Amino acid sequence: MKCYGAVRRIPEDRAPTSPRGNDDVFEVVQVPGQSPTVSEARLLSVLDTAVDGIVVIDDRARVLVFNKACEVLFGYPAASVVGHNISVLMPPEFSSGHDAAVGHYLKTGEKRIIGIGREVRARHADGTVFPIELSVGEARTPEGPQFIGIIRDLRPRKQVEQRLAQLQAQLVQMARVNAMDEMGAAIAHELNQPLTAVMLYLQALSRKLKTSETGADPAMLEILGKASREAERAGSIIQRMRNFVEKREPERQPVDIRKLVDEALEVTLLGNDGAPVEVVRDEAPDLPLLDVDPVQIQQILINLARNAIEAVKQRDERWIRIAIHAADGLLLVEIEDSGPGIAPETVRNLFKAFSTSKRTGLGLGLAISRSIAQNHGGDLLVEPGGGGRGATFVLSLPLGVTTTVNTK
Amino acid sequence: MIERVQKSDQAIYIVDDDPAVRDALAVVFELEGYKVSGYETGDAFLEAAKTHPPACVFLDVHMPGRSGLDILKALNADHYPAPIFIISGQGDIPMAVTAIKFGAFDFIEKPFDADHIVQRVHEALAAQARRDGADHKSVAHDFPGREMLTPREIEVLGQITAGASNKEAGRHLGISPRTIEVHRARIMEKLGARNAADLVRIVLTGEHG
Repeated sequence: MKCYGAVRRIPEDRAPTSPRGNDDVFEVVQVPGQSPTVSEARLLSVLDTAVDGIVVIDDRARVLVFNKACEVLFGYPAASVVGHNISVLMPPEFSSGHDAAVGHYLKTGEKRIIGIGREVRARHADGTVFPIELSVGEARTPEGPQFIGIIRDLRPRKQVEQRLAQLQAQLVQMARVNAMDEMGAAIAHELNQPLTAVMLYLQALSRKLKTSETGADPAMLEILGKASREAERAGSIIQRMRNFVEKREPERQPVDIRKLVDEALEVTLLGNDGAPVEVVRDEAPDLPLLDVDPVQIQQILINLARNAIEAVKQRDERWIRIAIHAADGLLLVEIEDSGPGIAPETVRNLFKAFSTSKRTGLGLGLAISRSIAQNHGGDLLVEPGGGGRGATFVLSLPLGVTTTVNTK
Repeated sequence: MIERVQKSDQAIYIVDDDPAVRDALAVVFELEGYKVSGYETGDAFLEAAKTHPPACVFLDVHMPGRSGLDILKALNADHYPAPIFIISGQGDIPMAVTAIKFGAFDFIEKPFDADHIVQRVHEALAAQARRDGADHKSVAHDFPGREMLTPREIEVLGQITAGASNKEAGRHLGISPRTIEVHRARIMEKLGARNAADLVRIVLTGEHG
């Protein structure tokens, strides 16, 4: 049985020894035979039903009311707090100056927290310090000014914030590692092209000279041969570079694509600080597991989801639709957006490395996404939309057993 | 120069987004006496192939716009008469396997050697000529699952059931032993065969082991 509000000072002569030294000793009084009035009963019920912690103190910072939510929050039964100075609920950095702060307010009327509310730290019975949001109101009562504090536990919110920060840090890290890999792979690929051409030109010339009717000039053939070998050497350097950046083999394992989509959306939507975007999911039942590298496929999905959200940012209608279904031995993930579609001149180079329409980034996202898809035996295609329709990216991945090939 | 005349009738189409690679390949094959056309995109190639069918195609798989795999699908490459060589970078084996499943004739890894690719085209066209004549082993009779196989797979199956090794079958059909391997695995998967002996039994007796 708890009582609220009816607190009186215990006369000095019958006061037990206070566990907190020279504090005045109070007791919670229940007047025998006297039931609470209707409004008191109502107040008691409100206090006990409230989800937030509610605490009332008097002008000397002594606790008058400590509701049920507070008991849970702080780990003290009301009986052991009521009558004591509220600083018992505070970590040292707050408790030491609290009485002075109350005194300062009573003397000057200068409000530092009343009616403002702020984030502070509280101390649990077990010593744990935790973040709370505290709003304080003042009541002028016949017994002098009293202060009402409403306390909200910020730990759940902090956890969400922390998780978000972690996810974002992971995202940044992933993006950084990817950017390195992508750079290496893209440079290797781009250099391989002219080098292939150089080798072919030189060899074509050699072949031509060898079959000419006058016979080849041996000195010229030798020079061509040297040039050819140097081109080959450059090729092998590129090859080593490629091997280095592509060292991580796809680590294939059975994967539920829906889970990957869930995670990709979570990461992307958490990182979206712009206008809210509606996400429509459309999934065929009984989707089989895929044999893919989850990290790499995740990379594609995050990339596509981010692009889609980016595309709808400035639109009045903001949604993305993700459909997953199986057809012709392939699992198809379609990501459609309500954006403006992709301009034809952009579509041409959309999947080409180092070409981007964005102001930031290297334009490697879609290039690497497509090569990951293709290295899994799948593909990444786009229906560019336009004319009132958004773009749809279609990621296809092979279903079922992948054929293994002996490399030499 | 009878050979030259024949070659100049045979058009080699090169589909690669890189102009230098396209041109260099053209130089090599033109020197060999072939007629060569280059296409920057898969769509341009598909358009041209409608009116003038090529004798042989080189198709880069990593292209902006429609990818090489997409083009194979659009061509219905399984039943396309001309051999289509997929050009791929290294480390693209799973992609190359998919390309073979989609009907590519074979794949060639970049960077490549002029002598090597000229040789490959000679072999492919020679195999094509044999195919057009009566001089190739195929599986004549019916067996359960035959309708699931592509024409190329039926040819490969003919080689396997005749006892050819991957290497021999590859030489005969103008494709690499690795590609034979891909076809073999695919055929076994389609027919539900556990091993080569099983495969021969299914084909010859129509019994599933």
